[in-house]
Amino acid sequence: MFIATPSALGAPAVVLVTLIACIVLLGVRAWAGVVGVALTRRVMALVNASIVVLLVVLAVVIVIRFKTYA
Amino acid sequence: MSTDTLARDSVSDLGVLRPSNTLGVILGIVGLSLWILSVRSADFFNMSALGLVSVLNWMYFAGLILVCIGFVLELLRAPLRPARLTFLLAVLVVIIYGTASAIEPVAGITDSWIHAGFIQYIVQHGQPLNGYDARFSWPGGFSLAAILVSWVGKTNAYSFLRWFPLVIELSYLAPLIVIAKNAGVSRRAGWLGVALYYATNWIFQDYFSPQALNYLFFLVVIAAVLACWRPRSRTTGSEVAGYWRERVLQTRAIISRERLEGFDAVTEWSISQTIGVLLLVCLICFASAISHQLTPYAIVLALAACLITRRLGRPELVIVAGILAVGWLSLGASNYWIGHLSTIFGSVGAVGATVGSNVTSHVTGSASHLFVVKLRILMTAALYLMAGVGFLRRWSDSRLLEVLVAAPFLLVLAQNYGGEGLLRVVLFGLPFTSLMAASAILPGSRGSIRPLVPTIDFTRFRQSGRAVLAGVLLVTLIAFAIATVVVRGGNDSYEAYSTGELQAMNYAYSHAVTGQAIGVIADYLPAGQEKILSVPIYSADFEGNLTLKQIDADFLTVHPKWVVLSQSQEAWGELVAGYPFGWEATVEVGLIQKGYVIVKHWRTATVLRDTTST
Repeated sequence: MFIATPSALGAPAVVLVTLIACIVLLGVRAWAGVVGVALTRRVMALVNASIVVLLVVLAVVIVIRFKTYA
Repeated sequence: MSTDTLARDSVSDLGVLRPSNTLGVILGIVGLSLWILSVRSADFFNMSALGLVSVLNWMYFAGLILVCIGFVLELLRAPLRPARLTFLLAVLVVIIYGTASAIEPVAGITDSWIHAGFIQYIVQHGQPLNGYDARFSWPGGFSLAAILVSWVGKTNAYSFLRWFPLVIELSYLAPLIVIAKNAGVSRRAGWLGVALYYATNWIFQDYFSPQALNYLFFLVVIAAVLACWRPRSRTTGSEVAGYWRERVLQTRAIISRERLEGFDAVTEWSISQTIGVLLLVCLICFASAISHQLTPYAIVLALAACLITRRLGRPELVIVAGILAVGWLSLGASNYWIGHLSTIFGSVGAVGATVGSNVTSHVTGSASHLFVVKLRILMTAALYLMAGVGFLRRWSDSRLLEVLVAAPFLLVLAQNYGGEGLLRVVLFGLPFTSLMAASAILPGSRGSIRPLVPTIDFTRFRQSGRAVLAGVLLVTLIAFAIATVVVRGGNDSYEAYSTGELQAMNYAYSHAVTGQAIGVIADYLPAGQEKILSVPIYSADFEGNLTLKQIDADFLTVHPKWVVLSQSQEAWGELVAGYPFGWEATVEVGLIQKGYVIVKHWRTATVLRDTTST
């Protein structure tokens, strides 16, 4: 599969999109916390899980990028 | 210990000093006047192997001591007068950090000239030069400077170089005061901590460089966070559970979910102010991520330290700062790491080798150079020792300062940073080490965390206690300040440059055509500021481990069209590399015998041209 090739996973666009997605979710979480938006435990858990998953994906694609291009 | 005793301010207990209202400021003004007279009469060309201190006369030290006395007098007054303390600190900064700029005819440190060259390239071409130098992979600071250069209508950044150290050190003052005010130490210890910071910062990282700018970013981020968030007040269980049991519980809480989610810190700022701070800190973290290799990670560690010590309410900030730093490394700095990733990750975990390359490799050279290097180590050790005493003596609500001092050491585990990692660790911890050292003398008297050693009750010996305190403050401040003046300018005999040396380099640059190299023996010249792509600088003996014959042979192998010999390189050879007195003349004779001719000569520099090639 195209997406499975290391060079594709380590492409700048993949890293950038994952990074921006992380920042957006973290921004939403911080904004909700500061403004005092009452998120249900379920929504909060969903946001947290999404952030963790995205951070793991980001770490993986960065490692792949290092290994592929170094 | 009774609650009454805890509530008392230790200095108020002593009965504060009551000098005349304006004595401190008068001493500051007199000190500044003596400094002006001193630097006006200093002769740069009389500089000896000891560096800057060798051209300073008694008026300089009298001025410095008077300012320190004025500061201590103000510090022991009640109530404290922040405007006057700030004025005295500013004078102290001018005296310690403005001296080299005032005496030396042109900016020192070759790297500041190289950075000016990078900026000139951006001004001329509108973009950084990819693949030329690792520093160009973090071009934020250079781009900002290029914008400023264009904005003021200049074509290069030379006019920024000379006074940059003083300007940037003065700009550190505001965030340092905010940090001191909000770090959980007593007010007097806070002011003393800022003074100690300036009196002990011998690490010359404030020359014209991205790291100097990024250090300001670092301080502003920490200052904003500490000003915005406070530890959540908690009902102490110490009366019920016992003091030490309470401490163990609080220590275990460092990794509790509440702590890591930021629930243990609160803010009294409005929602819009808090969001504004968050956005601003994120923006600064981004600016830092694209400007410097190391500082973004120091910011991440410091933010994490604030989080686990209940001084940061939004953990997202730590993660955002981290992914911005790693993201830029992965994407923006790929020109740097593609092909040599080992330079980034090769020293991970090699702590012994890192410490070795950071400390022992610097302890070499002549007796005077060794004296300066050893005094630097001694000063740093003394400051950390004082900070250790501060750790034992101080009252506090959290161990914020201790964690902020320790956090940068994690950087050494990951990177030796070209043999300078340990210096940066000390630098990043210095604002907090200074506050802890100040707490050794003025430990405060409030907080849920008690001192680990018995508190000395100065109220028992009121008069002598006051005199002892004033004496200790004075001796500490003056000793550190004088030692910093000595060691900070300790390399100036070869890192400060004369007008002749600058003119020699300008002559070589103006006559060199594309493809011709300018040869130097070592990089101790104002070099690299022009034609960075078309006229390379060739350094024959950067490490200082060649014989004089090998230097000649090196030049003949590479055959640079132009060779610049200078007083600074000669001083470096004698003081650091261990070459005999007058060694540069030997190299010059060797070059002349092999076809070079002297084309221009100044008192401190000579330009030679190769006549054997076209």
